[in-house]
Amino acid sequence: MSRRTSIADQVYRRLRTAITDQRLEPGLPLGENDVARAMGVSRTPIREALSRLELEGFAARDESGRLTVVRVTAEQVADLFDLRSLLEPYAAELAAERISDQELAALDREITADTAALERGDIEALAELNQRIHDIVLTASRNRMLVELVNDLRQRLAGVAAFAVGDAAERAHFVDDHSRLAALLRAGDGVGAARLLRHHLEGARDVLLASIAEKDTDPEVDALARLLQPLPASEATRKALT
Amino acid sequence: MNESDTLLTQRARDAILASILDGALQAGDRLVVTSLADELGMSRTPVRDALKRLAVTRVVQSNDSSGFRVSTLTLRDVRNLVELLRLLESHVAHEITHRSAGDRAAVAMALELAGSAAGHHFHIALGQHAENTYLREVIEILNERLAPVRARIAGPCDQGDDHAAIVDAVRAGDGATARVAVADHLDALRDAIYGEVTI
Repeated sequence: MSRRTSIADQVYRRLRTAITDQRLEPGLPLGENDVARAMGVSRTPIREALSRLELEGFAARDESGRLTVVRVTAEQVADLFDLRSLLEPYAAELAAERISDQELAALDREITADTAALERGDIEALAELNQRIHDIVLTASRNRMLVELVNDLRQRLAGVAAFAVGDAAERAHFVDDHSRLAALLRAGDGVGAARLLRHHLEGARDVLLASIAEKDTDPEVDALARLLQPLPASEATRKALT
Repeated sequence: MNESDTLLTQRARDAILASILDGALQAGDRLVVTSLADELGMSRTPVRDALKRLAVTRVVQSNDSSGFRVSTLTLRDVRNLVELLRLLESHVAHEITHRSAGDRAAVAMALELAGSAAGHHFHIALGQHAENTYLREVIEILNERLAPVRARIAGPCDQGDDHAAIVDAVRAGDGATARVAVADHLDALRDAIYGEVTI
């Protein structure tokens, strides 16, 4: 692991812990410069850490496009994934009977891109492809109510726990799940597709929950979080919090 | 928004929803803010806010000219809705059966109370006993969307036998029976809707 990556990783873990412990208030702006100053590191690893927090839904853009702390607890993540584990396997079961040849072809294209993104370690692309792959399966259920429901839920939660980044092995596993799911849908195996998707979502949930539970034991953390909290207590923060 | 505004909006929402549920307002009907405000004896703002809130859960839909209508569902939408509820509510019923006897008795009593009211109350009450916050919300939203259709037909929710079977299974802690009772009940509801509606 390069030095830059490991600094980005440390920053990421400290911020994530501070967010899930609710030491950083929801709505608090996470400006690159402010975080860099508070943590005493350069902007490049900060940018990498913040982008990962955004992908995973621990941070989100407000109306003016500023990255801010999202309210996310372990319970929310668990509830959200448990509901998805009910809805999406059901969608997959229906999709196995109803998916069109065009949708299967589109699924294959996204999975080829998924594999390529995995190989070059492009996390942002993996997150986007993950969403598109899950969307194709959802739409192929031909249940408009189900599609609307999942989309409304997603929108309301502003991407909370949208994507489990995990480590390289976990990512490889998730990508492999996607291609096995496509094969099951092509074979019309609804029960198999539903079972695989359920395990897939449970896996993603566990990866996210483990990352939330995994405390950064570095004693510096509290000091950093304290530094971070009053940090943009500038006007921007007061506005964001009122 | 201060507290009295919130209360007014809530009152307007409940009143409009009640009219939709009892059939006074039907699918596709226009919802005119000024007339609703007159009827409810309040200003237009809480009425408009109430309609916006009902639009979030898609009970009403807003049209281009910022007016509102009661949402229309196709027969296929209705089937999809009932099948979704079958999946989610049978899951909840099954989950409740794993709780302690005391908890199950409390849920059974709450469901019996709700079951004597209009059909959808029983189902929303069942949903309210899910442990999962999002599942509770989703079951409520889907039942509200289905309610206008459910209100129009004489279905299994009006007879009470099915609801009683679900309550008994919950009280007895019999997960498999609870799951089947919910599924059978909603299948019967779907069939009743299909028997009633002609297109």
